[in-house]
Amino acid sequence: MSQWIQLFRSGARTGWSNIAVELTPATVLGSRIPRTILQAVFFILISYAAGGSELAKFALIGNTMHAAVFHSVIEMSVVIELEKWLGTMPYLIASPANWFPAMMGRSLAGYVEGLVRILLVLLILVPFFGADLTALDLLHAAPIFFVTVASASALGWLSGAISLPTRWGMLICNTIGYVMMLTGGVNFPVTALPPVIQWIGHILPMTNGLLAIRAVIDGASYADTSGLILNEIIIGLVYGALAWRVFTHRLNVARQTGNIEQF
Amino acid sequence: MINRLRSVLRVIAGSFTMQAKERATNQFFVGTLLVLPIIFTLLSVGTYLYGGKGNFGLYAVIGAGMMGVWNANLWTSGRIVEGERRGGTLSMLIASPTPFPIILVGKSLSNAFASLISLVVTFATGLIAFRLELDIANPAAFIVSLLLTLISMTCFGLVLGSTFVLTRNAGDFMEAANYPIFILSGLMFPLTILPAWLRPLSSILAPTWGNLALGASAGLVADNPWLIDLYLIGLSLAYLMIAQTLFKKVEYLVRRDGSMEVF
Repeated sequence: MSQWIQLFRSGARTGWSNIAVELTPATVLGSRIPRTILQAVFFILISYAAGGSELAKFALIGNTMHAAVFHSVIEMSVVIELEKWLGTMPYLIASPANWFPAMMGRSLAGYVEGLVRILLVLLILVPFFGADLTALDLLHAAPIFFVTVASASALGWLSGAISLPTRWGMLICNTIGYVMMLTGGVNFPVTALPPVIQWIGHILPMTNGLLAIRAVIDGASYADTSGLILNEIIIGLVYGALAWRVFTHRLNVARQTGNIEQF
Repeated sequence: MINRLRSVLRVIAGSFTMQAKERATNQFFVGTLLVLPIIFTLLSVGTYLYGGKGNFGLYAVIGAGMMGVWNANLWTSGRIVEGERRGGTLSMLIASPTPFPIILVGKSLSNAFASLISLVVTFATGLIAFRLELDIANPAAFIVSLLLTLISMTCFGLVLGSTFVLTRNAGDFMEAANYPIFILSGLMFPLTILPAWLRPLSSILAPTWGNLALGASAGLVADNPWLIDLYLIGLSLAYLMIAQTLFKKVEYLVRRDGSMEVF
């Protein structure tokens, strides 16, 4: 167990170092923050034009959640992609250390950045589009935000595991992120979608979590939304288990065939 | 003079072809030309239909196509420079007697023409997914406006591309530059919902006028598309002059400091 903790710590340290290199004041102020806020503003304005301030408020909550989920899906995928592109994947595979805690540690920085994004979007955009949203309502829903981002990370990890032997990892995880925006009830309610798309939405992370968040913000209790939260957790665990299986399989194949560097 | 023109055209043709070959295997282009236009059309038209404003359908379809065109152009300016830098060929291109902007024009035009695919994709999505009536009131004006919009956006991309030479974080800034342009150009919603103090910024952006020209040709906006086309021509010339001045300054800076490979 202590070895797992050590590996997790070491992975987390590497993750933070990576992010520290990327996050210079120029990229944070000139790119990361504006990108997160303005993407949300763009979709909120479409909703405002389509359905007035009520739909804009709906889109504000949806896009706040999506900003973090999108980031965490991509970051989880990037953790795997980065090892591949930097040529360090063969060392990870060959090493006797368990890769699971190391990879979990590596993705911690992305998870935290996802949560920071939620905070940013809410702090900057609630005064403009939030109407009657109060800080207390949002704080009340905070635990569900945490659960939903974690659940979405599992999907990101699965995406990274699936795309491991290909060169299309970034395209795949970006597409997944946008598809979740479409099927997850981010800009308009899931019920407005055709039944098949609704079904797809409900088997993807975020949809149930987002429904729970909206309900809690509107005054529902955690007991009322426990079914939705439980669904979100189960979906996250299922995707996590799938990712574990696929990634293990990929690594085994790579060890057997020695083709991990062919992509 | 004729020989000089011929050699410039040869360089443009060569870089045009080279870029087309590179694009064929580039996942970012598959994403921006095929995947994102579908998703943005579904999201925007879906939001308008939910908000009871189905008559905004064609507007959203054209806007989503324009986003694809702009994405391809912006990615062009940023990714070309970044690609050359990573490939170690940027310094050679800057040092070569052929002006770098001419090479960039060829590559940008190549991407601009390919970006027309995104417009086809958005129209097909609107037609298939929502059975929208996509009648264009003035097809001749629509085609001319589209071509002028492409040229104008390419010229605008050159202005941004010149500054991307200075930074290794061009990719990050490119991502951040997308949404402000989408918002300020009113690609997906009427510009009237933006605060009045932002209008001057909107009026200097090629996508604003391109969108307006296409909207007017399609019969969505009560305006003369030919007059807007004239404005687009003027704007393109202004962009070209700005890009040329910027390139000269940037080229002088990187030659003086020898900072091309320092990143």
